[in-house]
Amino acid sequence: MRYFDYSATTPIDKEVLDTYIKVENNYFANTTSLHSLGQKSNVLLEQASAEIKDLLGVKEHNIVYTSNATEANNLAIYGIAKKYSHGKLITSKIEHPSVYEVFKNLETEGYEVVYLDVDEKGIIDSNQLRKEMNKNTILVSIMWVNNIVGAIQPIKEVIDIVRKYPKAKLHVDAVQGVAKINPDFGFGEIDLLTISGHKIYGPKGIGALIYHQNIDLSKRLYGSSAQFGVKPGTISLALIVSLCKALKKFIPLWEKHYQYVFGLNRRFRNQLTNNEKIVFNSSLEASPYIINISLPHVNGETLVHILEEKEIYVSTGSACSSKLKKPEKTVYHITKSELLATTTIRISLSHLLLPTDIDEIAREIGAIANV
Amino acid sequence: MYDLIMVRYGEMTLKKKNYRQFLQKIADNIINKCSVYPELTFRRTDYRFYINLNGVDYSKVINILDTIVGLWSYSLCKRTEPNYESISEEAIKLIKEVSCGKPKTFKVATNRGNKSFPATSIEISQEVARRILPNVEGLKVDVHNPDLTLDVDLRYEGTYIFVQTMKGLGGYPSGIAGKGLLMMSGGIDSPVAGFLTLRKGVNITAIHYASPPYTSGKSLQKVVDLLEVLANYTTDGKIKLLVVPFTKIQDAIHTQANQTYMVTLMRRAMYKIASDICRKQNIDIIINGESIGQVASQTLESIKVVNEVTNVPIIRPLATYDKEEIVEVSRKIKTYDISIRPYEDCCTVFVPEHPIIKPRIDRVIYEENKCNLEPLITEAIENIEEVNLDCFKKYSVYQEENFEI
Repeated sequence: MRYFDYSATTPIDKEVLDTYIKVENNYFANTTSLHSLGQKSNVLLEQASAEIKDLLGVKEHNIVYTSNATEANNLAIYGIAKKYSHGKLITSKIEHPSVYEVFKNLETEGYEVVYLDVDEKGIIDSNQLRKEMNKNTILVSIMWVNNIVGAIQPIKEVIDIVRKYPKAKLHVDAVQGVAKINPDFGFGEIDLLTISGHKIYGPKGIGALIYHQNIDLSKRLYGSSAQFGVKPGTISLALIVSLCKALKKFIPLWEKHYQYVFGLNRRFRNQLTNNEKIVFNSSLEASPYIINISLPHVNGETLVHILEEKEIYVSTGSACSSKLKKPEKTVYHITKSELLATTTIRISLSHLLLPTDIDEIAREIGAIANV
Repeated sequence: MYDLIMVRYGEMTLKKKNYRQFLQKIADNIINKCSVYPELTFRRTDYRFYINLNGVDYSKVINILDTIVGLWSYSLCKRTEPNYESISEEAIKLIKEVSCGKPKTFKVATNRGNKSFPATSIEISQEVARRILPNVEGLKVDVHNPDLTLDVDLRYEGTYIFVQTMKGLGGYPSGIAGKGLLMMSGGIDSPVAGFLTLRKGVNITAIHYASPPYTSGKSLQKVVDLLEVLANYTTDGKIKLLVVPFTKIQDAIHTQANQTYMVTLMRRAMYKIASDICRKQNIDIIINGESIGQVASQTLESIKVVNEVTNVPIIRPLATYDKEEIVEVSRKIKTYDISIRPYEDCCTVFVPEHPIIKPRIDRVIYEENKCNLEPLITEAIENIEEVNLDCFKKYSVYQEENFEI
């Protein structure tokens, strides 16, 4: 079996899984219980949150744990938008559905939403953002690393632009970047930040919204005052500590893994770049973890199934939207070609892959392209 | 932007013979606490202490200085050559940066420690001002009420200019004045009392009376967290906490004495225990957060009958403070948010609805004799638990060993 869908999800790391089991066994008490068992759990929760804040450099932020990044993105966007009855919201045309669809919905509720264009590399135009910003802008949401093509957005520039408008808050979906790419900005400079556990060898079922202490999020759920009142309900301490463990293990390794995966990425490209029947939708500057290609004469879904027969697993676009038979949104906005957007597959890499795995998938795709 | 921080010592001018010892303590303390930034270098003179930043962010060093007692003030300085050209050139840059381009009134004050400079202080100030004025648009001189004072400090060791001076904590270096036992309830007042005494150079040991199961581990954790904040202001970042098991004493008073005397008797027991510890551990004074008239147990009459049990001097730094003033200090030293956590402490359980405001000593002794407290007090003292707290290492009441994530 050869797995090339690490941007959809990753297998859990052994040490992280051990942490999960240890916590679930020894710290099962509810963190909000008054008795000492509950308090023992609570101390561990606070320790995990403090360590995550340290690792990310977000000392002045709150952490709200969610079931996944989708929930965190929803909480961030609704949490800001609903504090106002109207206002201007800015995002991009290539956001993940958990951001994009929220804005689509808010549009129907009377908010003004601007979807920024992207260029052929999938990068937003900061001048367009600058022009669209005004005193009515309440939220800007831009993903750090695109999940389909790996385009890395100029977040540092975005921070500088948004900062000039005190009313406007900046949300960044950092799911595909954390512990993989070196940020040219400080996470602490971002008002609301989304991260996820299962993209970095943590367990599924845990994500987090990390937002600045000064921000008061509007509530969507009602219940206890746990998690600042915005995400009431019993938390899973084991999942949270596992998320912390994954960050703690993989953030220090990002550079080593980046270099290695960059090598794998170039190895793949070198073998297929001369094949005229294959179009690379990811630019060379994109995250090395993601390679998006189109074989214009083969439907993307068909391609996934042909490779699957050889026990090679890739994805058409985002796993979250791949069941829809629509042109892939991000690829369409980058290439402006409906054909390329329906014949696309995403190969996503990991430090766990070997060069021989790369050679194998390159050979198979090359063979399919040449049929 | 700045080259160094000039630090001025606190009330040292009042001291004569111990002067050097005091300064040595402060210098050691600064160097010790700044050792997290190995780039920093230091220089001492008789009246000043200089920290060369060597590229370290000045705000980080200021944050450290803000926790050191015995410092009067500090200034962010720029080094210049000892001549008018260099001084005024750097001064113009500094004024423009600090005032963000907005016009201000200013004056120049010169301190001519370097007597080889060929002009008097006043002449130097005038000449520097004359050179600055045409170069900063909108700037005017106002020698009486300036928005901004440019200090020119001419010393043999160098010439410095500065416009920003921040006030330090003041007081004496910690440990210079002897030892004190801080009675720590976990409220707003006792940490402030502790801080004020610590600021005067007193080395602090804390004592806390715990009454499980009436009080929980959470209230003990609160005391621990408060002391870890206070420990920031000590020389070595450490404070020792003594936890007294107080339940049996409280139970005895509760079941056997007249309830209006509950608080008075409890406090007498607490002072007896504290005095005993002072005697055994060579501690000079007891410190508490009492403020005259704040609650029933803090009327002068109550203080008097409670005080009778001990001859150890009791220092009450907050005696004359209003609650608002105490809160203000507690916010400043960052204990307030911890203090307001809503857990029961030993003073809030079994509190009678109408405690006696003016207790009479004969009545107090009569009630006390009914409870037969002496053996219980001895037992409590024997079972005191000692916890060594460290501001760099969080102590948890709930976990014997830390979970390593």
